[in-house]
Parts: sequence; C-alpha cells; structure tokens
Amino acid sequence: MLTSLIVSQFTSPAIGQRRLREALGPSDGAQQSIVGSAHDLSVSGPGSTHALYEQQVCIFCHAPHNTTGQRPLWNRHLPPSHYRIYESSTTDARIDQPSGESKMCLSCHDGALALGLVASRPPNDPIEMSQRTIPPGPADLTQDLSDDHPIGFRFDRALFARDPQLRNPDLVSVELPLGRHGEMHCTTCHDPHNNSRGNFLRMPDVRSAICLSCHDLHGWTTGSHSRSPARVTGRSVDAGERLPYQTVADNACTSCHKVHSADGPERLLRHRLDEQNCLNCHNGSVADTNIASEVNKPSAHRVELFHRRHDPNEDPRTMRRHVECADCHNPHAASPNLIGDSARTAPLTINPTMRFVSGLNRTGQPVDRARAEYEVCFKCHADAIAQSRRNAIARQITQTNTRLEFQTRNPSFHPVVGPRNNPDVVSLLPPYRVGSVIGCTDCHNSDLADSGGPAGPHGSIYAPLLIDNYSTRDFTAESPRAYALCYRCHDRQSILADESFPLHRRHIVDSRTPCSACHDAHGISRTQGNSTNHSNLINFDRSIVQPASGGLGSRIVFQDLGPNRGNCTLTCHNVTHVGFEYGR
Amino acid sequence: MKMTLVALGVALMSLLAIAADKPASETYTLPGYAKGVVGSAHDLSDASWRFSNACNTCHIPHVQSARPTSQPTTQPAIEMYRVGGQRRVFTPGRFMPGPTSLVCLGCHDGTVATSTIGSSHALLAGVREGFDVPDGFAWRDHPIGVPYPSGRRGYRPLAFVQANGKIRLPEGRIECISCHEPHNATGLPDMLVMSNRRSALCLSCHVK
Repeated sequence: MLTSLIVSQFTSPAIGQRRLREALGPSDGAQQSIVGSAHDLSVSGPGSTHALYEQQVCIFCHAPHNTTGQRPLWNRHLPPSHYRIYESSTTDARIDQPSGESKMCLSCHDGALALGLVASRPPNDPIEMSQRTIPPGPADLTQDLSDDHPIGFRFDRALFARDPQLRNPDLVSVELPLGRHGEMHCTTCHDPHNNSRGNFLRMPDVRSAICLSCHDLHGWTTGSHSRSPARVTGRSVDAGERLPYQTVADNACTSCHKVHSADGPERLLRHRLDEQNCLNCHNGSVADTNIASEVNKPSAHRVELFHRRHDPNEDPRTMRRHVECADCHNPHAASPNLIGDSARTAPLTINPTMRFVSGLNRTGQPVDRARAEYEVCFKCHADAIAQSRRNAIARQITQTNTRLEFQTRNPSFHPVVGPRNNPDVVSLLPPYRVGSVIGCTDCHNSDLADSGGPAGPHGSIYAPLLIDNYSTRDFTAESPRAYALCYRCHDRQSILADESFPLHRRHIVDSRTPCSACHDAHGISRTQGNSTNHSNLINFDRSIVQPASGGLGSRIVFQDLGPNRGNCTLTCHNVTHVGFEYGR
Repeated sequence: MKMTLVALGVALMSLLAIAADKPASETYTLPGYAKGVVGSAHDLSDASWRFSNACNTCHIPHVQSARPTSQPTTQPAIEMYRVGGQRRVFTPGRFMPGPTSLVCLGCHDGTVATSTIGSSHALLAGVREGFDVPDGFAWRDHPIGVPYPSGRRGYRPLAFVQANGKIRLPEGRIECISCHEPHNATGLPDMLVMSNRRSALCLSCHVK
C-alpha cells in the first residue's frame, strides 16, 4: 500500500508525523475531519452551537468508557419518542419508526434532547452548551418526520420488485451504505464525520447523483428537466433556500423536491401548493415557457383552484374534480414539444411534454401510460364522475362524456380517436383531407400557440379554451374572425360558395347564424343518433332552434337524404321549416 | 474533579524521596507536585502513612513477580473479561486484556470496591464472571487487548500513531496505557498520555 511505503521512509518519529501528514495530502487533511466541521461541538467548534468549556470533539457522540453499550461506543441516550413518519400514496416501502444509526442522529436532530446530555457523564452534570438543544433551522428535523425522506425501511429486492422506479439495491453504490438488513438510515446519505461536500453528504450531489443512486425515474434521463441548462441563480425558485447549483440540470431533483423539511410533505415537494412547484420556474423567470400567465386566462385549466386533490394513484373514473399540472405532465419525463402540426392519419401520438402520463383509453379503461393525446384528456373529460354535467350549449341531445362523442362508429364526429371517411366534407384546407386525424389540441389550445407562445391547453382568451375565436352567439356577423376556429381547417371560401351544404351562405352570412347553431363540434354518440338524423355533426342549439309544428306534432327533425341533400323541420329566426328539403 | 484539587507543578519526583519528604499533616496541595502519582487519584495512601504508600497500591517491593510490573494485590484472571469491538475490525471474543491492562482492571473493572470506584465516572472495563450482568448489557468501553488495526480504513498508519512517542502499544496492542499514564506523569485530566483537546488523542488513531 502507498501508505505503508510512505511510512517506511520515515525513521524519525517527530519528522515522520509531519511528513506523513503532508504525504497523505487532502484525504487526511482538516477538510475531511470532523474537527472544525459543523459537528464539532467542542468549545473551539465553528458554529453558534457549541460547548462552553468542553474541549473534546468526539465526546458528544462517542466515549472511551461508560457509554450506552451501543456500537460504536455510543455516548448518547437514544430518543424514546415516537416520530410522525413519512406517508405517501405512491410509496411501496414499508416505513417504520427510525431505528439503529438513525436514532443516534435523531438524538440531537429531533430538536428535543439536550445536546450536552451524554451517557459518560451523570445526568445532573451534562456538558454545558451555548444552546440547550439544536436550534430551529434546517438541522432541526423536529419530531415530525413526515416531511423528511423516509428512513427505517428496508431497501431490498422485495421493494425493488414492488416499485418499478427504484434501482436494484444490489447495484447501489458502495458509497451509500445500507443497514445490515438493507435498511435506509441517515448514514446512507450522510457521513457525520466528513463535511467536505457540504451537508455531510457522502457523494457529490450534482445532478442528484445521490438520489438517482436509488431512484430510477421513468423517462428522467431523456426528459428535459434532467438536461435543462436554464440558470436558477438569482431567481426565486425558493425564497427560503438557495439552491446548491446554478442550473436546473445540476440541481435536478432538488429543483422541485426537498429531502428534509419539505413544505409539501407527501412526495417531498418543495412547495406546499402542487402547481407552485411548476409555476415557480414556469412563470417567465427560469423556464422559457410562461405557463403562469396562461392558467390565469379567462378560459383555463385553473390549477390554483385545487389543493391536495390530485393523487398520482387516482382512478380517473372515480377521482374528485380537480386539475393540477401533474394531471397532464410527468415532470420527470416531460420533454420539449417538437411535434409539428402536419396532417395525420393516425391518432395524435402523445406529445413529448406529456410522456409517461396516465390516461383513459377509448374504451374507458385506465392506462398507466397514455399512448395518444386524447387519452390524457379523457381522464377528466370523459367518464369521470366529477366532470361537468352541463354543456356550454344546450342542444337537441346532450352528451357530457367526451369519449362517447368521438367514437369512430358514431354517425358523425371530428376525427380525433380515429379517421373518418365522409365524402360530404369538401371544404378541407390542405394538408387536411378526408381520412386525416386531428388532436384535441388542434382546437383546444392557447390563443398564443400559433404566435410562439407556450402551446398546449393551459389557458386561452377564447372559451372554452380554444386556439382561436369561435362565436356561438346568435346573429353574429360572419367574418374570418367570427369563426376563425373553424376556418383553420375548413375553407371559408368553399363554405360560403355553398360547395357543401347549398344554403351555408344564406344561413351564415345572410341570416347571421353561427356554425354552432346547427353543428355540434365534437360528435354525436351512436347511442343517441344515427346517420340519418345526426349526420354531419348536426345537433341543433336549442337556444336558437325551436320545434316546428307540423305533421306529428311539434318537433325538431333533420333528415339526411344523401350527399348534401336533406330536409329540416324546425323553427329558427322566426322562420319555420316543415319538411323543408334541400339539395344540390 | 479530584485532579483539579491538586496543586499545579511540573516535576516528576522519585517516589521514595516524596514519601520521605511528605509531612504527615500535609495534604496534596504542595506546589510542585501536581504531576506524579503522589497526591493523584492513584495515591491511595492515607495521611498517616502507617499502612500504605503511594506505590504499593499497585507495586509491592521485594516480591518476585512473573511480570515486569510487580504483582498487584487484586489482579484478576484474563478469562474474566469479554472484549468487544466492531465486528468488521475485531473478531469478538478472540482478544483478551493484556497483562498491563489486568493491573488496571484489578481495581477498575467495576466489581471492586464499587462504593469508592463505582461512581458514574468509574470504568467498567468488562464483566467478571459470576457477577450480575445488567439487562441489555453490551460492551461499554473502548476495546483493549486488540492489535492496532493499522492500515485499515478509518485508522491511521502505525507509524503515525507512534510518531509522537506518547501512545504506547505493548506488543502492538491497544491497552489501558495506550491512552492513560497511571503514574500521572502528564498531569492531564483522566491521566491521559496527551491532551485530548479537540479530541487529538482519539484522532491520533481514528481518521474522522
């Protein structure tokens, strides 16, 4: 060994000791010693908490004689108290009260036991200290450990088998020692004798190397948060704590999580309010995308309205009504949106910003990982018991389950879940054509999505969270702007030239009737309509269209008689059609 | 503490000379005698000098002993002790206190004259067979009789430990006299061989 080689060269003991110290270099230097560190509580210790007279350093934890009998010559009485322990709906660990080494640390760090009370001295003669107990602050974990990373659970193969987002404990770095039975202790991450890396950490924590030694998060390495060079210095990511590194990528987990004394105890979130963990950076300060201004728009997913409602384990069919950032995004895996808006013939694949997010598929079954964008939307806007039972427009037939509106066997629907082959649609602008597939976000998106703003249905000035203006009010004067949403795909010239329904111009321009008076944009479920009475998304707005008397009583009837042919029985704008037939 | 009662001084005197000079009426406050066994906690002689002197607490003149150190009056047998230690460093039960430590344990094993020595400051270096073992008893003292684990992770090289010439490792083993100087030659608290200010004594061996 190098050490023994060095030693053999020193014959004079006095010189030998000095040379040896130099030869061993920084690895044996003061930097790594407990002497002079925050754990040096002797009278010459550096902190504000130290002994008044005691000169020894080790004595606060270890003594040569009359110890408690616990290894390693442990000199402190272990706290008898029961701690409030970490709880989470997503943990697979069986967390118990702290034990072993952890209790040794807690004998000071729970802030309850006197620092100077050691086993080697009589209880009535403790070491006199400048502070009786550990003062309030980051080192005082308190007896409530529910906001601290759990300890006292076994990180073994069984846990690894239960939790797919953990690493194999057999492969965890030897730098991070687990207990004899694989228990996680304070000492797994901390070396109480060595503060050379700060916080007595056993490894450098840049890019959360310590956390990621055990945690293997789906999509983390390819997600953008693990690679973001965005600088956090000088920005208020957390007013209460300066983050240790300069970029989001280097801070990694600690950008959003706190290992100790987290404001959001469950899942150790940095901020108490779920959305605050995201919006603190996504408000124009650190992140490029300013979502904070989006979710405050008139029509928005108002994440600030809900607190402690979202749970990653929730069943989308039975959960309580809420929306949080994490409902649509997995911040571990989220990546920048690179998918263009070209025409598609298959359902819109999941947006990179929504990778590794759960969903509800077209048959109404929850899926752990949504494959198509609509599956994420369906979590709340389909079978959820908590979703709104009232539509913005009262129609002939009412359907609040969006999933049923888009089924591909419906008499008519916009092609979100799958393509539709309807030759009646002759007005499509390229690249759209019959057989194309669109996504929810082709219509429901930020009003700034086209002009470089943060894309996605966070918020819009157009209700209901639409990418562009869509007037539904009766007697709206036709203009490119009035129905800008529809004209994104449907050629205004073609429609107004009556190339499809031959009376479009008469209705829209001359009579100032909105598109929504006759058309129900999502679709008509096959249980409620058929291809005769509800083709072409016909589902009349009852605030505009009234029944007409004639034939078999008062009714509203549309009858499809083939391509661009049909008849209507209704009253609208004080004009009554009874079996009024049109055709090209 | 008892040590603080002793007057300050520097000279280590010949034991016989001190004994001859010491007036019967004197207490241990003479200047110049703070170091040395006379007047120390190890000086069990009484003031009258009729029954004892400071040396024959441990040493008896003119009695041949098998060991370099004269036979103490109450030297226990090796087999009476269990030596603990960290499993990864020492094999439990394999090592026993060495002969020099047995001299100390003759008084300091927590079974002898506990009314005098058995305060909370007293040493309980081991458990003697046949005595009551406290519930949940475990090793409460630094291991002795074990070879110094030079070269092991967390321990300094042997040359480093012995460099200042103060820490003694008889036959390469850690004994009581590695840390303590029973004749109070240093005059330090707890009769340590060197000052433990900033735990310098502990850190002479332990890399912490």
